[in-house]
This record gives sequence, C-alpha cells and structure tokens, in this order.
Amino acid sequence: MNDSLVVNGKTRTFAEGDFPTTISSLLKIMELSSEAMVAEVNGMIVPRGQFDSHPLAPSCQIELVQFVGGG
Amino acid sequence: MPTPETAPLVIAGKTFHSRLFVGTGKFASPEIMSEVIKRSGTELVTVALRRVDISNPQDDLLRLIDRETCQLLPNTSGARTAEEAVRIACLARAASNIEWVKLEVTPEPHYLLPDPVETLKAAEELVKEGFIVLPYMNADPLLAKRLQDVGVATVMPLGSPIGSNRGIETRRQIEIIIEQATVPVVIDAGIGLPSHAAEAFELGADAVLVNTALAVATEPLQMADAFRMAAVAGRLAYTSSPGAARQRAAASSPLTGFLNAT
Repeated sequence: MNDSLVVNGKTRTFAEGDFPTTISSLLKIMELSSEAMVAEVNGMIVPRGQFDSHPLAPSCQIELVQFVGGG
Repeated sequence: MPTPETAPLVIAGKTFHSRLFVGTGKFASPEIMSEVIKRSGTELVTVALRRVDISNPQDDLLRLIDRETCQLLPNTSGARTAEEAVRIACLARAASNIEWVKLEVTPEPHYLLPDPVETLKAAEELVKEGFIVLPYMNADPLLAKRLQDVGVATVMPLGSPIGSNRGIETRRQIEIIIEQATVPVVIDAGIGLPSHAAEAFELGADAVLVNTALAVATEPLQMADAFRMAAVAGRLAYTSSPGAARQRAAASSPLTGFLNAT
C-alpha cells in the first residue's frame, strides 16, 4: 500500500517503509536543502527548527516556501 | 565634491540614511540584483515568498543581501485577500524572524491595484499580531488615514501601476496624503525614472520604493547611481523651501538701469 503526501500542490507517493515521517526526511528524499525555507503542514506553519521533529502523516498537505526576488 | 546627504528617516524606531528603497524582483541575475542593491546605497529591500521550485531549486536569495546594512522587508505579493496576506506574512516571519512586512493585496492581475478593503482588514490584524506593517495602497487620502489609525508604520501610496514606469500620476492625491500624514509616506510603484523619484521627494514624500526601473534598465548599475542621486536631489530641493509656481513672469534681471532708458 502506498502512502502519499501533497507537496506544493503535487501528490507524491511513497512505497511502504519509505514514507518520510519528518520534513527533514522529506527534504532529503527530494534532495532539497532546508536553507531559508519554511513549511506549512495542513495549514500550520512549521519553522525550520522543527523540521526534524514535526511529524508527517499520510495525506498531509505540505507547502515548502522560500524568499525570492520581489518588489 | 561628494554627494550631500539628507537627514535620516525613522520608521518604527529604525533609522535609514538612504531614502531610496529597492525591490529585488525582475533582475537579470541574482548577482546583478546584489550589485544594484549595493550601488543604490539602499538600506531597505523587499523580497517575496513563493513555493520552492522543486524541479529547479534556487540558492538562498538572502545570502546576497547584507542584513547588517539592509532591512529586509518581505512582501505579501500574491495575496488576493486579507486572509492570504496574513498567511504569507506569518510564513515570512517564521522564515526570517523579521516582523516587518510590506502588505500587498492585489486580487486583479491586469493592474495589480491594491484592494483597499482587504488591505485595511489585513493591516488591522497584522498590527495586532505584532507586525510592523508598511501597506501598499492606492493614493486614497481617507484610506491612508484609516490605515494610520490602525497603527501602520508608514503608508505606501502608488504613483502608477506596478511596473508601468509612468511616474507620479496620482500626484494630487499624494499631496493630500502627505499634508495629512502622521507616519512616513513612501511612494511605491510606477516610478520609472530618476526624475519621478525626484518629483516624489519634491512633493514631500519621505522615501520611494523602486524595483522595475532598476531591474529592466540596460545599465542597471548606472541607473542605481542615477536613482541614488535623484533621491538626494529631490529631498534636498524639498527641504530648501523652493519658490512657488506663478502664472506670470517675475524678472530675474534688474528692472532698472536699462541702456535705452530716457
């Protein structure tokens, strides 16, 4: 049975046993650095300091955002 | 002779020696953006918050901005409602530990005009949550008063639509805002030329925010020099109490001692 997460609007499916239980592990799978990033999990803000601890469960909706150029 | 300086500007207890604020969008590269920021002498830059592009992650933009000399001002661009703006502001604060926010609520994409109702609603909530709010607004003097009443740190009326480079089309309204303001007035949006920036200061603005004009110039560093000088020129002119405009001529040369007098 596959578990999935929605990350930045796209569904990602993980094989059983590979499901990322924290944001840090999700970022590792996606080969992303957490630098200057902040996350929102099911509408709740998760700062970088909690990327190792905040638990993820199947069907979580995650937004990963960072600063970009803007006026 | 070095360029003279103008008196510093204080916003929310923080002192700015440059009255030219700069946006970081649309530059040809992050490196050019960084060079323009330095050359402009600015001490405040805006940034936006967006989804990480997972297929093409970008380096951290903040690495290219010297936080010692530059106040970071995250904007809520993309927000169409007060609720979205508050959400973006909270995310930006969590990402940066900065309490300053440029409140921008622009539901209509062709003109990017700020929604006055949603902006006021968001401003009130953000001020309550401890943010230092700099709201982007249309040049509406009554809205400026309402925003000041809810505790914003500045008002930021537009000169003309974002990126339009049309200058201070709202000058008559801006004059009223400046006359009645109880907080610094930052003219933001539509400033396309250094002369527009100078005009903004000659009207009495406390600062200007410029992005597109710097980013799209063929010579952005030169343009940064020009804007830096124009901001100083305009502010010095304003504080020099220039003569009023007149209908009729008033001679510059003496009216006596003419050679052909009888």
